[in-house]
Amino acid sequence: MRIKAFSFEAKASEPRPIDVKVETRVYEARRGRAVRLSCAERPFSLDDALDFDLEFSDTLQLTYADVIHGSFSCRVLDCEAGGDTIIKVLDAQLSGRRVRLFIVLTVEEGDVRRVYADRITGLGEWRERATKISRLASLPPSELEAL
Amino acid sequence: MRPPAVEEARAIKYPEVRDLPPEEIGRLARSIAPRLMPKPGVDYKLYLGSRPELREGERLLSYTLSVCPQCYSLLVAVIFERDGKVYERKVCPEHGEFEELYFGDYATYERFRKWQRDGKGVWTPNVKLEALCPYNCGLCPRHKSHTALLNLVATNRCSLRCWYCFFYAAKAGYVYEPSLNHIRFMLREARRMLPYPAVAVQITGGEPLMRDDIVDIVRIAKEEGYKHVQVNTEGIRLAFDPELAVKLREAGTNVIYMSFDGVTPFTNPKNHWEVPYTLENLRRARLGVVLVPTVIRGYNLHEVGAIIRFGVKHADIVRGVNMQPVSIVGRVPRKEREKMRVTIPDVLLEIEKQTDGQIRREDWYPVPSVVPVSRFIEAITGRPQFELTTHFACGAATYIFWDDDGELIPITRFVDVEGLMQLLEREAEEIRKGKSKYMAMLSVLLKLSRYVDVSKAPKKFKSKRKFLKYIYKILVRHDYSSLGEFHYQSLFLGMMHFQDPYNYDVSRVQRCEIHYVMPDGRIVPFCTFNVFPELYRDRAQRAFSYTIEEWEQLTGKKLSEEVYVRNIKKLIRGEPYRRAYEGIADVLSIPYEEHVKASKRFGIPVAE
Repeated sequence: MRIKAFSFEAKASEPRPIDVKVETRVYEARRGRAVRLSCAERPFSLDDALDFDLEFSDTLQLTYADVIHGSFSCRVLDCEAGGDTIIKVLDAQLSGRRVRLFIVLTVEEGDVRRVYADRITGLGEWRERATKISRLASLPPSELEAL
Repeated sequence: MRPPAVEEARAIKYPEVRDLPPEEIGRLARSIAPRLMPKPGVDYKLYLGSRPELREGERLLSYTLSVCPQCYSLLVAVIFERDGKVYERKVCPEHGEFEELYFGDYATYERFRKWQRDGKGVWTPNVKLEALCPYNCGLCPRHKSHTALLNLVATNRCSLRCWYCFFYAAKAGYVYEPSLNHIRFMLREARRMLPYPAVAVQITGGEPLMRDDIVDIVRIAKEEGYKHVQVNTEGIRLAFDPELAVKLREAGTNVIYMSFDGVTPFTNPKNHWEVPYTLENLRRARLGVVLVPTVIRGYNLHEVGAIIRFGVKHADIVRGVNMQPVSIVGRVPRKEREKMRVTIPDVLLEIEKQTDGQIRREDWYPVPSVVPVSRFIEAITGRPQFELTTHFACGAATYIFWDDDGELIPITRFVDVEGLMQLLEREAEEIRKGKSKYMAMLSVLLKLSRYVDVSKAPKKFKSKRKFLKYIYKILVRHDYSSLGEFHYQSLFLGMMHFQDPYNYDVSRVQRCEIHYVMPDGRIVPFCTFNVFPELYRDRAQRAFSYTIEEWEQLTGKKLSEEVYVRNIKKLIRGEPYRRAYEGIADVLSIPYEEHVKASKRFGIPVAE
């Protein structure tokens, strides 16, 4: 199963200042361990815009319509996954502030479902989030912290 | 205007489902909604390959996404400054270049831009993300602001036949009039929204007062938890039916939102003659009203000052004046658009001129400037708060007070709004970093008086204590009644510039907080609902409509007989008419024939 992810930088001044850098790593849960997937990289194209919105409209409250205001450089990661639980780790710098966000996907009969995504505008305590992510990703919290 | 889209037949036979319980109507509506979404390749195309170039004398401000006014295709637009004004330009490969005034004054644009604050988004989207903005509205996960005002269209019937309107039932060819159970479902959809549910609803139309059960609709809105209910009307029925005003207030209507385009028959042919009687009846019913002028260059821009003075004259019952610079719909050539086009700074400048500088441009602040108040209260309470996080170019507001000599005094003359907001923003940030809430509140209270100069305040606030008491109540008690109390002491002046396809900016629509709930349960921003009627409004309403024959059979009424005929002679003879405009406009010297002409030209027949 191919999983798409994005690493990007965006800067804009209107309508509100944006200064964002995001590096995404993609993992697969295998027998209680997170195994990093190797991903092919390619440049962003307009066909990726909808997937970009799917990834970041809730997590970072950022959309293609936001990044078009200013400078935007983006690498699209195409990752090959064999397992049925995928964890995306987004290391984001938002105007210099570092935040780590998680997305959990499950694969069932060829369908990818997004079962969890952190939301920057409603980020709870790490302990609560870790418990939830850990349960959904079938990974012990210690494994999450090590990612 | 654009190539015909998918021909949407009525999705259901509405008479057969109208009486189902709200939950069942909801299930049905949700099952139909996906079929009504805009269709790529049919309703729109994507042309995002190139950015429009700048020309000599133009300075880049930003790029954004916009649409082709003819085919609705998504385009990249450039926003730039030229000769002190802000413009938007875009090029459609099929229909060519479109350039439009975006904001009439660059200095105001920059001043407003500083206040941009974004909301927390919508955590309970009603639609899946399947298309780019603005073809995925419902609301989708991209949306950045919660619903601040929910519009509910109660009917597309109207007794007026205004020349420019294509929306009313007789023209549309069907009657859209959701049943009470259906309305309950729609209202519940917006109450489910997280992190902040809708708390304010506007019942609109068509003409909502055409419905005999309008009072029940207000009651249902209150039952469903809406704290603020307003009815958007031309006010004509209220002019002749004093009992209705009382019933609406008793059912829980907070305010009437009434079209009012000017102070003469020529600028306000829609309801010039009836407004005095409407105000009388609202006064008796103790039901407040907001006057809502649509402002058009070359038509009524020269009367914006007089409209405000009219509001002040009737301030015992008028709670605010909310001006709406024209939104140009339909295919209009550029030269024609330039004759009509006004933007927020243009209206602010005219108000400054027409009030002899009593209300200056600097007295206005963009809508999101009040976000620090919400953020401070949120920091204190730990709960998400109602926030006004529209795009800075969407709207502006101020409050004015007045002295006995008639001098208008904007709040900014005696309150340092900017300093106060900065204080609240700082204290909210301190709380987030761990400062005690009580210390923060104390700090605000102790510093509050620094931001108020009562020597410049209207006489009724010469006591500093009295004014600070209002601010204290709003910040500390943060309840609706304390804000209402403040409103009664002042006149709210607002401005909301709804978009059109010529000046469209997707970044504005993503921040929109004036939404419509559609009969299929989708919640759609004002500027997609009305800018792309074929894709949203008309398609959804037609799917849940009666044929005219069905409606006539059900009600025993005749749609063609529902036409208002104005008796100008009787209306201008009445004492309320003379009193209402006295000191504002010399309407009594206008010959009767001119009154008649103005009404007929607009499309409203006159009883001879």
